[in-house]
Amino acid sequence: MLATLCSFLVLAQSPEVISKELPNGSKLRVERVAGTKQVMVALYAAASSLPGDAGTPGTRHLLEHLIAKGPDRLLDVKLESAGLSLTATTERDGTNFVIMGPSDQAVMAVESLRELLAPVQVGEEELAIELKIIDQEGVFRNQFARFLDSAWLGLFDPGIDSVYGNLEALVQLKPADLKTAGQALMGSGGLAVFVKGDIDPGVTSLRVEEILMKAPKSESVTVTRNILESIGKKETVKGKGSARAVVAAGLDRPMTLARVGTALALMRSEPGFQVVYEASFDRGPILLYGVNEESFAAIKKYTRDDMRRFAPFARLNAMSYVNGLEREGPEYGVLRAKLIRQAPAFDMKQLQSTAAGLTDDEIWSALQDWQGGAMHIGGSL
Amino acid sequence: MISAVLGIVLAQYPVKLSVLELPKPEAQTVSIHAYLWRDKNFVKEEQSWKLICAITGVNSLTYNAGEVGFFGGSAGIRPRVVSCPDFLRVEVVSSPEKWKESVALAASLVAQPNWRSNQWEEKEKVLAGTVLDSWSESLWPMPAFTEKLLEDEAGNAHARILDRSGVRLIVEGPVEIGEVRDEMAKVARLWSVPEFRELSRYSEESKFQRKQNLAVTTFELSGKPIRIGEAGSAAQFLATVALGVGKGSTLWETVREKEGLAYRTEGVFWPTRNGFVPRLFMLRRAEEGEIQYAETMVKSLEKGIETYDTVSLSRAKVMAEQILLHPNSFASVYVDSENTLFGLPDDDLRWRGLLNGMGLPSVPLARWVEMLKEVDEKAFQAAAKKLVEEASFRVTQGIPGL
Repeated sequence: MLATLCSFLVLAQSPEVISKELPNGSKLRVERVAGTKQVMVALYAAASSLPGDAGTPGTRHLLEHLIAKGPDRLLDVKLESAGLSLTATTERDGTNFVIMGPSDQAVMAVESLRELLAPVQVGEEELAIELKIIDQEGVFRNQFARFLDSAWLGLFDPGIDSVYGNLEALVQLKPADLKTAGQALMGSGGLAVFVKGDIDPGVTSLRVEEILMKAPKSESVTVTRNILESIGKKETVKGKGSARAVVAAGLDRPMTLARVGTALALMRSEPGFQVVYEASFDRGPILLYGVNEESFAAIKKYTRDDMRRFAPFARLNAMSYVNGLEREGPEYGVLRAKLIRQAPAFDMKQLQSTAAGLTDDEIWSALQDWQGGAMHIGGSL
Repeated sequence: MISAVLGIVLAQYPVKLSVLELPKPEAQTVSIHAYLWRDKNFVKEEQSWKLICAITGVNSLTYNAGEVGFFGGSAGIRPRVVSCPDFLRVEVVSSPEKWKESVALAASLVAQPNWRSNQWEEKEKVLAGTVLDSWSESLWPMPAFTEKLLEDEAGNAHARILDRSGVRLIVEGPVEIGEVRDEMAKVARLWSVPEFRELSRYSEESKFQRKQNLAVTTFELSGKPIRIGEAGSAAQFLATVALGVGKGSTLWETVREKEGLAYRTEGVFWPTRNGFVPRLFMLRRAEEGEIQYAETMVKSLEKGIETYDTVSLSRAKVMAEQILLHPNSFASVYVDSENTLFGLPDDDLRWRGLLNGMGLPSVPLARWVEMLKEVDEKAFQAAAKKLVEEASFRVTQGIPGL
């Protein structure tokens, strides 16, 4: 027992913060913020635990829907009756579950992790209804969704076309397939739990450890996305509009914030743009979508001389973007849980100063990326 | 020339200002919210209103864009502008030493937009090219912007609204009662409402759209505005939570989970000049013959209400407290078109400022949560039933197969 305890890799420890990697490869971080009377518990299951969605695109997405209900399908009702709420999302990086609410219900919030890690048991009838819901969800895939998927495929070859999935393939899945896939997704080697709030870090950490140690054992897998050759790359997808995509090396890099800030500034200065980026400390694309090709013609006018006026605006947008990331909603929980696996040494507090400190040269370089150097994705109807 | 100038000056009216001061001696900063409320939403002014909301905060007749930017640099936070169909709000956070300059700036940004140099033409182009999002469209549809606004159209609409409603200032921080009022009386004594054309008394008021250029159809059941603090309002608020807010709500459990009819169902509280309107949404893929789902939605809600008991009421109370006072996944009390109450430092001020504009006593959030706790099961059930019975139902159809 003592040996087991000693084998825990204690990354940092203080009365306010506890960070650990457990022997089965799962990781956790518990932070006390006294006086808030609130708690947030975020569970992140890395996509690498289920590579290529086990051959059926959308499996992780379907699992997210099923897991979030809990084994008895009453998880939401139980949580909400105590003032807690649960949200679940699936991204390229991983599948996420965030529970938030009053800290006097912290035990219930943490214990809910046990339900999320339980084996997925689903009947045929229930599965059919869930697929109907996912079919309905498809309508909310934005008009730029196909462009984004193309950017992932063109820049990184991520193994699956879309996180949303392929409904025709998903309907072929049997309950037993989902149980197996669920066990793999919740494998210990890809799990991270982040807890923050008005809690006792020591007690909370012990409780989380006990739950995580019961997760299905799996190897810890670190996958770095390979970047494919992208300069001058041109792709066409079925859809209205056009887009450009650039590689972001991770949120902790200044050029990522420069590119996001610049793209947001363009979106707010020129008609018909949308910016899409999955906040991550791993590599991923930033997409600037334009409703038509003329949108991109409009940004060619910016020159180095415009930086005096444009750069402060881009910097302000980068700072606003970071402010949004730091707003303590479910997205914040997801990002913090991701951080534990992707870049544990990085201090989130640096993001604001990085954004504020972006130089005119960095912003000009980012603007040039959007003007021409990025991957071009055209739409055809 | 002199007589012409004199003629215009004589026809101008002073800007009406109302001030609500909320002294908070222990506060480290002064929070200032300046509102412009619309008297009515006219079809003819929808495009102009969107543009007014987009350009407010750029500059004013008293402060140029550089000065507004400089203010952000010195106070640490730039003025923030948010809006809704019925109002716009400029939010300024100031150090206690600079509150006088800050109040003047906030009021000036609302009352004195400088149409000559606020680049409204560029903003109009950006608005016209906005990439539409189905949820934002359900809450507040973007006007078509098919025709460009005339030279003075937005300025005229602004002047007309300013003349009707004036500027409402809500100030919280280490200020004394009467101080802000006195300061503004000095600062704004020469401010005036520019000349404007009256709208025809036959002007049409805005109505909801029946069609949208999206693949999504929006089904919306909206109840009577909740007049916070008035009789029955607490039960009405809790009934809305039970019906539509969260995954334990009737809408989610029946329409989504049981029937699989939709992915997105939501219940929100939407701020209008008449109160918070409870709006229950079901968004689904547009298809032929979809109108039948309106009936399914209403019947599901009616059936759900029959099962309401102590447990439902208890869930509604704890959920209400969370969405009113804390960050929450189902934050649904909108304080403008993009933001909800989220446990943020100025949320109470936003809430009280809105109540003030709605013509209601500015009940603090914490007090309102206490009032909700007093609702009994009978009143809760009756309110839910009444909400659905008296609600209006709207279907905004999308385009199948888009």
